[in-house]
Amino acid sequence: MIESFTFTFESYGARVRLSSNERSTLDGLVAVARVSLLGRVTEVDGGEPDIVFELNRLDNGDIMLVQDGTELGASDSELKAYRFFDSILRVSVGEHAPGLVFLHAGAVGWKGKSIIMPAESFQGKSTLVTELVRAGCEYYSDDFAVLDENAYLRPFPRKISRRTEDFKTYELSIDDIGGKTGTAAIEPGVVLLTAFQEDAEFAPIFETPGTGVLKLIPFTLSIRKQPDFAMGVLHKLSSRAIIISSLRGSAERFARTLLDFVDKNVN
Amino acid sequence: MNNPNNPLARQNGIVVQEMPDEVLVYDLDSNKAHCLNKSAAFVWKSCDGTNSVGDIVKQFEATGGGKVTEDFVWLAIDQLGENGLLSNEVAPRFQGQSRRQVLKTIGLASMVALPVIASLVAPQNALASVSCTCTTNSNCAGRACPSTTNCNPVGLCAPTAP
Repeated sequence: MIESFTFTFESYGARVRLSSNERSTLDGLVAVARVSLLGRVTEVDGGEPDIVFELNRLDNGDIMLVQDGTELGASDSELKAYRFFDSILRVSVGEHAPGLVFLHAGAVGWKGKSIIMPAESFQGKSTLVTELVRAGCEYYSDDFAVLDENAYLRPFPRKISRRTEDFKTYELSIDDIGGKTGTAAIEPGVVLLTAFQEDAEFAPIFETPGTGVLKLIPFTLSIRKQPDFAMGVLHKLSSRAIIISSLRGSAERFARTLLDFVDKNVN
Repeated sequence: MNNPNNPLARQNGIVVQEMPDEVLVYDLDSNKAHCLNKSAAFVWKSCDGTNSVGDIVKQFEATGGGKVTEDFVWLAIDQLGENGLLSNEVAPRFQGQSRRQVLKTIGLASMVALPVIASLVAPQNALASVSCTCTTNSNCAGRACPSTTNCNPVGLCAPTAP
């Protein structure tokens, strides 16, 4: 019989079980989980998990990541396997977290109100968040805007993940850029749907609350698992925040333009 | 009394969020979200199985919505049916005609905002829509990442750095 090592924990209300056929690999998973979820990993005994991850060493030396019984891929690189797990763990916790909605978005606070910038990967979220923090905003997240039942933004301040033009990755701490991390839950301010385009000028289109919510759905992790709750929170967000769409040019220049817009229209 | 020929709004398997001038509906079966503008929302709410299309026209006008035709209401009903927001089968009025043709005909005769339903399917795979990390090339297929075929040595769906 193959030995299995397990660790079950709760994070943001979601219950996760990790297992591996190697003790050292399980230890690696737990270490990644602690960093990935900002230390909010509380070991629990028993109970049905919402999510189960297995990372098993195969006979050929590769490691295979399995989620809820589905094989996600084998790799001969531990780095790749742990990185993939790191991403998928946060997404899965975000899908299941009760009482919270995780939006895939950069998020900052400005004068007590949230600025949320949903975007797909590689669209410059982290770059824009970095520039906004340099311009005086409080840092909340470059990855997920975490909203409570009142659509207030809560901090999820991972290190800012940056990439070079040739796709090498590195991380920046808030101290590195001389910024400050937000700690309080803050009320909705602006939701900005944007994409980078060389030399684009800021030309905001105000979305209606309904179309705004529709445009946020692709970024809402729990929309399929908790549609009722997620729709309720998006509704609250859209009724209290201004939702705008606009292309943007360089993040450095755009950060100040956006804050001027927020000052005129929100605060 | 309910008449099976009259449209009946679906009540089950949906999440409804009412907004001042719009209604959002999330279909739990298809995982599709719909945003009904004010005109479409009015027609949808009026589809109680007792109201005929003519009745809905009268109610629309009586509540200050403006003067509309039966085609205007049918335009909403056709869209509601197409999007699974009616619980009975109502034969489409404008079958065989392009939406553009219909909108042109009705739009020219109407001073009221035409009924519009915007729809979107919620992503099936949350990870695919938010992350470009990978362990194998096959993880990258169908993702909005710099590469859909290459999982590079640092575990990103992106070209391998030279």
